[in-house]
Amino acid sequence: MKKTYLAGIVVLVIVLAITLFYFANTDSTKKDIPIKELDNKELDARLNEFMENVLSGGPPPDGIPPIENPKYISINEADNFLDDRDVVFLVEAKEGIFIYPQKILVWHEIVNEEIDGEKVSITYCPLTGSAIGFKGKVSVGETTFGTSGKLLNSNLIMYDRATRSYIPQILGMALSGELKGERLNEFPVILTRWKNIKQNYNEAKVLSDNTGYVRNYNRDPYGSYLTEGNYYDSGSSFFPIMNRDGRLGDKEVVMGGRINEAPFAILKSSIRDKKIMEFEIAGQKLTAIYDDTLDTARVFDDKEKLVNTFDVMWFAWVAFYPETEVLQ
Amino acid sequence: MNLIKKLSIIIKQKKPLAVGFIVGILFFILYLLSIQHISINQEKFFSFSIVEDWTDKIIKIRASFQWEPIAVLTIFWVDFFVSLNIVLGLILAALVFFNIVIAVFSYSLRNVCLIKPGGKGISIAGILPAMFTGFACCAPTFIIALAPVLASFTLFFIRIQLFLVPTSILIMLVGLYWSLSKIKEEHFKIMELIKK
Repeated sequence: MKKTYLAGIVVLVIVLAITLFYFANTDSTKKDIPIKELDNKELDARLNEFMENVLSGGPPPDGIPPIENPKYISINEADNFLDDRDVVFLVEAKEGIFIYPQKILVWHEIVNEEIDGEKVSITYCPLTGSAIGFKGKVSVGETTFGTSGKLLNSNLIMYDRATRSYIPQILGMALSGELKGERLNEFPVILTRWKNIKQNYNEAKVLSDNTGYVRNYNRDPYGSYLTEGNYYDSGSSFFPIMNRDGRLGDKEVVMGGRINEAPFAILKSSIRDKKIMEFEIAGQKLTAIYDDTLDTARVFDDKEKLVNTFDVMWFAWVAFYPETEVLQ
Repeated sequence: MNLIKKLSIIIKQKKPLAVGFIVGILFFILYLLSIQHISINQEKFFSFSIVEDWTDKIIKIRASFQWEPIAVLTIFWVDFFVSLNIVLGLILAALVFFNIVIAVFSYSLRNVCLIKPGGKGISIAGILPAMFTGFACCAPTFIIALAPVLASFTLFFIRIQLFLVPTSILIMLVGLYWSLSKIKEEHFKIMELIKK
């Protein structure tokens, strides 16, 4: 009799475990990603090395749900739920100024939107403190981006929904799939504080917390930008990274950029103090100018063309670009 | 005497029932906290909202054994998120309840009948794995809370997260069976005699 009960329990547990395992791992977006070899062997080897270091962050694809149909509210309405010191991301477009609060993006990481008639994605990785805009037009047509649930050097890996290629946000280049080796078109997403927006952009549209998802947007799972001594300003990465470099502290904020694929990093506290920095990278003369209205810097080449840069934690930037120049 | 009959007799005992009920509820609350389904909301006293496409979202998976919340109920500045995890939490809490009821009953048998039914330690240990299933974005929530002390274990916990809930259920079911099988019919008779 006892044995019958025991056998029954074991069978029940196995069935339950298999059922739960199946439902817990159902990945509707899973498809085989084609292996592609690039003509540029050096780049191919580098991307393959990156691919070998991709880790699971836990969630399945789009388990961190991108916002697909963003709604916007006015500055006055947004002021009810934003603190002056809250971090927000600013996008300058022909049709106006768009603001994306960090307290919302920390739960979604990607906003898929159409701005100035183009599909674009505003992306934010909380683990590396980087916000970058990407245009949806790629070599195979238009696409949108999702969260893969994977990480590289603690950084968000996006996937494009047309070809399922993996694209680490900081790298901005596909590691796998049909788009392997293709660099996405970036546009600036400026990290600043809510107080700066209120003072300078009355007409801006602010992303509403009516996102279609249930989240506590007043709670940041990693820490807070309003206090010190948490993930955003101290300690190291939660996840293994490919390269470490002691030139700067892990969580020091740099403005990372690339010119002709040559990476450079401007220490944010240095440009804040110096206001203007002139330097040369890969034979290109560049000028960084500090903008105190937004507490950011803009980098221009010798033809006064804007070179995209973005705030990022040092450990993550140097993990992708160990050869980076540091300007301080 | 079969196990169901034993359980139905034990569950009628007031003290084990009360202790089991309290521990079960505490477990349920802790589980909801660990998966961030309970949080403080300083702005609202009472409200209820549900997402428009809740029938699609309710089966959407956020991480292993975590489903997308579809509604939020705010009572006295506390948010309660509604998702399939409530059902999973209730199943786990029910197992905790039965294990505690039997553990308390076995403990009283030890005092009265001088017997030592085993298994309760094992079954109560089954509570722990389920508490570690909460995930926020890309890291287990308890690691974020304890970082940097446990940050080096992030990958380890991500790899084993699939097994945490089944492990909890398995340990508690085996513990339940083990504890019940140690209780004999004559123990109930002795208990009855002592009561009289």
